[in-house]
Amino acid sequence: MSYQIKKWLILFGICTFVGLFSFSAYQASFLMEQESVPAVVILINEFTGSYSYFLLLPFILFFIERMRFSRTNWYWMVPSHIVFTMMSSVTHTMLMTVSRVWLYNKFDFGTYDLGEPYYRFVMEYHKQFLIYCSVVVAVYVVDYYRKNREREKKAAELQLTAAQLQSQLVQAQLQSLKGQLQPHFLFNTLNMISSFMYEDVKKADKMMAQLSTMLRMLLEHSDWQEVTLKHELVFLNLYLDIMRARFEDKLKTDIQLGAGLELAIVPNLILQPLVENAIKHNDFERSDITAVRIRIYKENSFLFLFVSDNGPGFNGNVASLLEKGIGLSNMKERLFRLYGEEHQLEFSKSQDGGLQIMIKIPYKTAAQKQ
Amino acid sequence: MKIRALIIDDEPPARKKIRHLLKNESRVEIIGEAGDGLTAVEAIDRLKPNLIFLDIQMPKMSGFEVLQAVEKKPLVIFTTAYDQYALKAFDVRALDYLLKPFDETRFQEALDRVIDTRKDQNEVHQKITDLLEEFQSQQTHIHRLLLKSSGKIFFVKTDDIQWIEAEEKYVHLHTTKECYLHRETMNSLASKLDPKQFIRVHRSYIVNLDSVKELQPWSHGDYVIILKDGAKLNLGRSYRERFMEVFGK
Repeated sequence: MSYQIKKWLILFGICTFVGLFSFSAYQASFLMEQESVPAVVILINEFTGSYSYFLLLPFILFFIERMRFSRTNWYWMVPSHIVFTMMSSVTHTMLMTVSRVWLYNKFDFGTYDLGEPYYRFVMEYHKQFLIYCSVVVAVYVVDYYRKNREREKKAAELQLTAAQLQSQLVQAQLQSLKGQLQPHFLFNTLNMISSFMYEDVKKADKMMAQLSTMLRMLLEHSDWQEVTLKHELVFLNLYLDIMRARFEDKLKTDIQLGAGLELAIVPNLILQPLVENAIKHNDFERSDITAVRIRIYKENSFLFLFVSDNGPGFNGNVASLLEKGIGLSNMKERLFRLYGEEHQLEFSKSQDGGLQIMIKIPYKTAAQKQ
Repeated sequence: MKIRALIIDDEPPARKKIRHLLKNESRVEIIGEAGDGLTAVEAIDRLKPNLIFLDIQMPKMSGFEVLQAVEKKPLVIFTTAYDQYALKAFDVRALDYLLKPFDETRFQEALDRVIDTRKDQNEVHQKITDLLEEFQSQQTHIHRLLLKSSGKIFFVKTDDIQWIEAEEKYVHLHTTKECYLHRETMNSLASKLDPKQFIRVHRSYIVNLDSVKELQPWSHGDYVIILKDGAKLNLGRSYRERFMEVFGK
């Protein structure tokens, strides 16, 4: 059943109840006064009254809904409502009278006596005014109740979104963890170590230790959102050491770090994936050597991280770039989550004609963080 | 006669390891190494090895692309660190491969088996042809073509190709600077190119839409396509509708 049908059925029920209620009141009052008025006549009188009001209810409710009281408009809202009650009261009295005249006639109770019309209207107005006031109160109460329920529903929905966000975060972390531990990287590195074992056991030993440190850092700190730049560079250098051993002179790297930035806070695992992307996406068409440059400096209250390569470069299409590696779009989301509008992630052509990625984040240090 | 082997891997330590494992192998002679796909294709064509150790993931060209490009296909032992798709393809065809890192026993086993298959080389070749066909069907449109011209091997970007002209089993690739002769049929090449960029306009012509300058009406409702480099190509009647549809956009 639709809300509207339900609403009008309930209102009809209330009118019927009011009719019955005042019928029993008048019946009692006539019995008390020892007047003999037939019960049917009282019934007709009271129901024509309440049902006439029911017929007017759509207009009355419409008026109340439209002409809301507020702190600023009461001085003209109150008079408008009073005028409206007068008009509706007169209409109601007329409706009531017409229906009573007709019913009296039909059931042979003689002619209906309205009494002195002027006083009749005044008398009815008093009753109408009180009824009108209670309808206004009822409308506001129902309204308040419904709004409250909607608010609760919305709050519940918000809670659900928050929970979903949380789970997305966990998923992103898992994904990036998996991204770091790329099986391809892992097995190729193990293969390199096994190769060194035939001729240079010490080197194999060193690589094994470096790989272990890398894995340990990943496992132990995977739930850290932010780390110091020093920590991040330790991880990056472990990775680069391994990659340089694997590709020998085919990989050139250059890291420039502004003075005193070791304790700056950066997102965990922000540099290594970018460097990995640069190495992976070099198609060696322009050069047989992959050259990756990392530049980090502070300007005003921001930390700038630049990673540039000499690969195929940037054709201006950010969307296709983000699509290429799951890492980049993931990183964008992470930066947004951590710094909101305060971060910047930009792509451009690097000095060597390759791709340059710029990340700008608010500068803070480990000391400030604590 | 010794088996002449070539080691192809982009990581020097990985090549060294295979070299080491072959040190005491009297049946095999190492004739060279290659650190990327392009060098590998050139080396295979020049040295004609009987056996190659082929890494699948390499810059420039994958191992599969190398195999596709070489004229005489040698016996292959594939090596890979991790490639589920490739492994599945090998397993289906009972082709042998080495998962990195591998030990001496596993290496020996693969080597023995591949030397054994020399007796029925045709069967092995068939398997590899199958494999390459599957690989080809998995690929999306190509963005560059590997060309061989008087002993030199190089890539031509498809973006640089203005138009293509068929001549029996060959095609002429007209770029802004040069014209290359490439041994491939028109139909085969057309199926590899991105249909949004390259469109057939005639039985013997394919044009790069980006290099079309204008379309001129000719007599009797025929049209001539004028390219940026000045070339004029007839628009074949049966290709007209499709061309108008794409070019009009």
